[in-house]
Amino acid sequence: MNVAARPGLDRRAALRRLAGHAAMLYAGGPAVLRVPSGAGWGKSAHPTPRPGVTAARVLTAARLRELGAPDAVETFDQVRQIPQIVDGIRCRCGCADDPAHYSLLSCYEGDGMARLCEICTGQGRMAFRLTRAGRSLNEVRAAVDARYG
Amino acid sequence: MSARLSPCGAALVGVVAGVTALAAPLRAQLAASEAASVMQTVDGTRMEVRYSRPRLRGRRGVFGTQVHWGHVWTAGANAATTLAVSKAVTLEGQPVAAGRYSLWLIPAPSGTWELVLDHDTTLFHTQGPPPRAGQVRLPVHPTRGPLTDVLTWSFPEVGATGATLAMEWDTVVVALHLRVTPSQSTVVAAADAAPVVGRYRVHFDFPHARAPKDTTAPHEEAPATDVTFDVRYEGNELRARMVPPLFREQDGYADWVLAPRRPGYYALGRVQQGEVVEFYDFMLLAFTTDSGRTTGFEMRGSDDARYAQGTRLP
Repeated sequence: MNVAARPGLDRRAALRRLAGHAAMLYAGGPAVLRVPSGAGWGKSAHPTPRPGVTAARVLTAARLRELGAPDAVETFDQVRQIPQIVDGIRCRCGCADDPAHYSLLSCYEGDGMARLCEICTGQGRMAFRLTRAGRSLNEVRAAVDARYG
Repeated sequence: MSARLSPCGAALVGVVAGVTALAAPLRAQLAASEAASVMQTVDGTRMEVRYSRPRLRGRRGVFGTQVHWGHVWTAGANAATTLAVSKAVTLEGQPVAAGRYSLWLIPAPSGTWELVLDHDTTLFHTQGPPPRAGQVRLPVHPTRGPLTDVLTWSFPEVGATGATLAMEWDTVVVALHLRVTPSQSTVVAAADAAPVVGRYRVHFDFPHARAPKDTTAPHEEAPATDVTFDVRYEGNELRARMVPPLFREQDGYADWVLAPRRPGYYALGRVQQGEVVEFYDFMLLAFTTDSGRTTGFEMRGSDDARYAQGTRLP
């Protein structure tokens, strides 16, 4: 291959594509990928998990496919397994400023905005990964704050 | 006898009046030295020159004749040429605060001219400002270049940390070196760096690299999957060398800097010819420790997907 003939290749963009970022961008059709606005960042307190909270309102795989977001199914399934943990985490993407929003779990309910937001997705996946590794809610909160806060 | 216009005559008068009305502003827009601007962004700092462009129109050797030695000249025409910078920069090593300035040159027959930046941007080209407080004044060194008929400001060189701004007219080139304020620090404290310095074996696994290939798409080189990554502490930075490079078909993917993003997290910065040219901040690197000893690292995207895992080598 003649390297000099292709000086403008954007390999950073290629890596982002291989990492799946472009796929997430378009997963929701014309909707725009949510990026952190900064509005919800900071050290605001994490919510207390609501007693008896369940994952009953977390979007199903079938609903996610209807919404054109099959790539999000795995993450929603992970969150579905740990509602009592995810309900104790304040989402750091900015959506927590919405009065109707209680916790990171809210991002996976209703219209399932987490399917369009890589920050919501990242926090949900991190919570699942660390919980499965035996970390406590407080340890998960600290890790989420370190990475996304 | 009354003078009444027929409908056709009235229409003709209307058309003529309309054309005249349109032609007037067009005529007023024609200028011997047309307005122009050039803008360049470097690492989030926007730099813009607005000026009017005089032409030689057959003249030669304008410097020392039409542009007099020792006179304050705006390096343009009509209204004073302006330079705007959106953040603090250095110009030939001298600090220049964010803002818009009128830009002046004082040509001299010797090799050194003087550049003046003045806060008054409303001046006409005949109103060269006298020395006064708040000005930036610095020596510049013109060189000879190819004949340029229309005075031109441009950014012929752009790097990750700055750019060259050049004025060319007649056979004179004045090159000005601007350096921007880096938006992202790469400085790491020695105490933070010491535990992570070492050699790592790294396995990259990008989720979509496993997807079926589109054989109709143009060839696109796949990134390396297994590399060694030597992290060293040099000049208050964590520098690293990747063998083999992340991409082999193009230079510039072997040398990296680890830029601290938040406590415990680093972004990979790509280093080419000694200069950081871009950051891969869509994935952050976090070192893992065991009993206080750094055992390796993970690179994860903001969606927490793991793109690489590094294991410390003995």
